[in-house]
Amino acid sequence: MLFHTPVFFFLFLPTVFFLYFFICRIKPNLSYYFLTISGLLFYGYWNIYLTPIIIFSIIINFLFAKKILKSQNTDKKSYLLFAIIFNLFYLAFFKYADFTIDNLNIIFNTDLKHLNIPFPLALSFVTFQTIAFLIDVYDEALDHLNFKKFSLFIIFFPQLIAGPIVRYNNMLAQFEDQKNKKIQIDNISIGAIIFLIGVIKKTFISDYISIFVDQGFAASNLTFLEAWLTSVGFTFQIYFDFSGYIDMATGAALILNIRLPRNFNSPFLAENVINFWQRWHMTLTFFLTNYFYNPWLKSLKKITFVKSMMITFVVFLFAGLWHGPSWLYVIFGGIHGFGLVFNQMMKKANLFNLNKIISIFLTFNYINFSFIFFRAESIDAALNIISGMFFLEGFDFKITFEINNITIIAYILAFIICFMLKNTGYYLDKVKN
Amino acid sequence: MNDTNFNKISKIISKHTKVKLELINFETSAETIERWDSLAHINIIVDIEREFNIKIKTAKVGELNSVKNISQFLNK
Repeated sequence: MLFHTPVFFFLFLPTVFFLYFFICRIKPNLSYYFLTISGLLFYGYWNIYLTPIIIFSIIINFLFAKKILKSQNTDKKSYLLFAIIFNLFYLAFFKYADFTIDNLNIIFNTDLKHLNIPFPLALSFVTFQTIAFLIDVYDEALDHLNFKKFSLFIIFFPQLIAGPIVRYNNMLAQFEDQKNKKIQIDNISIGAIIFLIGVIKKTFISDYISIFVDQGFAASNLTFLEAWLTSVGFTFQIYFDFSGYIDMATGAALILNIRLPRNFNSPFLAENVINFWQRWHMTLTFFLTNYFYNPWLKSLKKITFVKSMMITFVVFLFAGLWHGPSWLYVIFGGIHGFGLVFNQMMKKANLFNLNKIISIFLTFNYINFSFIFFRAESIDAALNIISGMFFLEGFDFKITFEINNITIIAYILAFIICFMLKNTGYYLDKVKN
Repeated sequence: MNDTNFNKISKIISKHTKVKLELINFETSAETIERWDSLAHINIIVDIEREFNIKIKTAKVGELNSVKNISQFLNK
């Protein structure tokens, strides 16, 4: 089920809302099961055949968690490692099997056939969330582990499909809080407004810009202006799509009195790549820093600047690949990894004193460049856009694509919202704190 | 707060961020010091572990990003 469909907003959400608070009142213990089942229905409505894959992940990881919690010392560490590797392979099997086969075929000159395994939506997020959870279990940093709470933590429908990546303790504390089990009018109205903002961002701004962008990425020859409008358009499109989705998730959760963590904070106002990742997909950055970069760096005998930069780069290559089974995502990750390393070096050399507007301008262009590889279906398609942008095809201001007035308005609005207005998270913090 | 703890924490932070010792106070954090970046942070955490002979859990590492949080953590 998608958030911006009538069946979600007019049927699913209101039904869950009324039944949830009714159950909270008469049998609070059942409320966890109710929300878990709602999550399964939400997922099953999209694809019932893939739902067992998520259920299996929940069951086996709960068993892993139990095992880790009960064992000691080296056993404990081995179980944790095994569980993490299992989860990565589980994700790899569903998401990267054909990608692996393609690469093997190229390397060994073989002709292995694709397995065409369907990808269960949400599994990428479930995997990261589960790994963080298992590490917390290992550290004995979790409050009250039990099955109903763990399954709800994974399958809570607002954050299930595309994040934000949430943390067990933070979510559970909210589900357990007695005052969250009663209907709160202000949360309903604020939640509905944020949800609506998300719908507009997605269905109006993002979708209308995509009409232009799709033509750009399909065209073989682009004029200078077309190439720029295509690449900048996609950068806007993905921001409004993703942050719109997060707004809808945040709004839907808030109606049930649950505050999801913030995931975006005006990312295009970032003054460098380091700052960009403090503003863009913030819960992913949090996960990568706390469960990947930090433990790795900390485990080294001698911690140096060079090693920390190498780890940063590798983490971002991996993060790139996590976005999808294609080398283009790895290039995207690599561009960001390189940008982070470059900015860290500038910082070390005290060269971070550029004018603010110039910094924002340069950073945006760098980010925009990286997103060409994120969207393009092949390296050639990406290079085609890039050659158009950097005069290689001439300096032409003509637009030959079909473009309607709404798309033009969407572009203008996107620019104004990204660079001149405060964001949804800012207003939410303001009214809720 | 325990004064010896505060002195030890400040020394470690000063060492890895190159901020003068006398400028560090209870409110000092990764937000207020530019050079308290991800690398400095791990160096600080490793030194805190050594100095106080403790092991800081993975999930806690990120949270100990201010003098206040570190000392509250040590007092627990």
